[in-house]
Amino acid sequence: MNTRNSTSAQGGFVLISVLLLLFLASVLAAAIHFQVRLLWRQAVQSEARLHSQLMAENGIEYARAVLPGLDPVRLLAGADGAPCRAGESQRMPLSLAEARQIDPSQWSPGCDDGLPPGYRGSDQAPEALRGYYALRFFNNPEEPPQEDRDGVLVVRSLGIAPLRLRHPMLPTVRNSLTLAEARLRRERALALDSALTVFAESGLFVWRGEQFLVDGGESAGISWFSQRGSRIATDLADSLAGSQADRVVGSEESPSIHDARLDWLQSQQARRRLLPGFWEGFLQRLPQFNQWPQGPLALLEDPPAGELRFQGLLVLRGDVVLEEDSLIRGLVLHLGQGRLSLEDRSEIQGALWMSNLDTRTDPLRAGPVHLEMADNSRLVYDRGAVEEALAAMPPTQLQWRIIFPEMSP
Amino acid sequence: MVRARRRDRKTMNRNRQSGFTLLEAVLSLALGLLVVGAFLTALRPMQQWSADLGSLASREGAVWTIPSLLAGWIVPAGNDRHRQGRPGVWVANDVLALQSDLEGEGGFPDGDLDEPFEFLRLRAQAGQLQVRSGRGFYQPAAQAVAALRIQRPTEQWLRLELEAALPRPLLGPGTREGEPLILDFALPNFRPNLFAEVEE
Repeated sequence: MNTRNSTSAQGGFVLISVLLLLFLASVLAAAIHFQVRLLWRQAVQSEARLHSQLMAENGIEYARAVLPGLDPVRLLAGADGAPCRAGESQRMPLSLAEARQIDPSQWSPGCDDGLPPGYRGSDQAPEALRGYYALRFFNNPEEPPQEDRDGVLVVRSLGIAPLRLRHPMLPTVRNSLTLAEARLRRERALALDSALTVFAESGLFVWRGEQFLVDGGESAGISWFSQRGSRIATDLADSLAGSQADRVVGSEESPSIHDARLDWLQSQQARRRLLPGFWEGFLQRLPQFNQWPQGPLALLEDPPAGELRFQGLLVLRGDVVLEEDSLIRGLVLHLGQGRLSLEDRSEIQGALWMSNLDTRTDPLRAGPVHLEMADNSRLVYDRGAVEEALAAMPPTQLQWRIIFPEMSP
Repeated sequence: MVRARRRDRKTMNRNRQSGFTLLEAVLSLALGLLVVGAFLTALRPMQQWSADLGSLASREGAVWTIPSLLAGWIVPAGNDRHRQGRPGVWVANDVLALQSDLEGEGGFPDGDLDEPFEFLRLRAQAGQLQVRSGRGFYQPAAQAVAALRIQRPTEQWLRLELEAALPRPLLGPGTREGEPLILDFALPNFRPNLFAEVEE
């Protein structure tokens, strides 16, 4: 009887010991699990937050790239051409509350205002790690929502980093979001609307032969602006002898020479050409953006010998000769002192701007310009080529911010 | 025979009840101490490794959170600086100062740095990355930061070199000093533009 009791007591002790050990092991495992869970949550959230910010920045970069080629009227009104219903967000790509919950790969917007082509994008990461951005443009708050006069637009990019790693033992985490916003100005101050635009008080124009052509198409052949008088108009008219006047054609009677003073003053974008800081800033910064000879934006002060081929926006300074068979498609700006000569069979398809501003002393003091066109040279206005050249100019970034949830988006 | 067996059983029972002899107890204690000592000796490196691992994990955990924390503060720095004529970002005495006009009436920048998060200063001190917002005091933002070196290689780029520190010296052999954490931030508000931002 005693032996049976003793054996029984030993068995009970072993059972209790084993249970105690199992309990301790369970507590240890639970502690490790919760610690790992906490670290996992921190790591995932931190990584997802960074990923969402990168995606938001990517969205802004994409918006910057496509903006110069977009028509703001169509962009702001959307594909249906009508503003969205009242109450629908015209600033946010989608609400933050919605963005936290949705599968971003399946999202489609209810309101089409301000959506550029490719308004929704993603990176090339594997699907489980892929991040997304959603974009929406809107007009700057200083103007009516559908009417852009100053060229300034605001874009918001919502970066979304979804969490696809799910496990019953691990906590569920919502999408991580970052909302970035940039204020961008489309540069339309150089959207010229005639074959030759002259900003000068006076000028020397030499037309050789009777086979040259200045053709404005449905616009003026030549338009001019002067701050102090109309001597430039006289210089232009007097330079054309006999039938040469018939070689300057456009929307007006030949010679198609247009006084653009009123047009410029009425246009907010064109008026920027008269601001002292406009040309000064442009000339100072241009060397950083020079992409000669590939283009599409180039500064050329000493052209190479031989025919010149270029497409985009070309800035010329000093004495420049476009030799025979040269062809430039886009926008040509001849700035400062010097002579611009177009040799036989050379051609500019797009528009030519000439000005000689003294930005050092008086930013808008316009000196004389000098243009020579040889027989068989051509200057033909092409709106499409001008638009292509303008699309090569990056928009000016005025602001860039992250909108945090505690702010009022 | 039966009697003798009964006597033996009684003697055994008595012996069991009376416990171990002194010699047995001393021997078992000595052996027990030896075993425990050997166990502790064997466990000591593991304890050191465990403590060191905890220390390293603590440092790595702190370092892991720093990039996303700093990116949110640094990247938008200098917002609306053109219109306000503010520098936006500058470095003085190893302190990084960040001005960002992020919010105002109507949800857009208003020209004032009236919110605490619109004017931040960062420094490394007492093993911490500290942040001061607005006119407040420096507060710890992240642990395990021994030093912060700030460089501005170009106007658009800001480089922070963070030296991570362990919360306590390692017990085991080796130093296991971490590589400095180098973070390069592109500052979108300082990207060059072809045309002047303000042309008046």
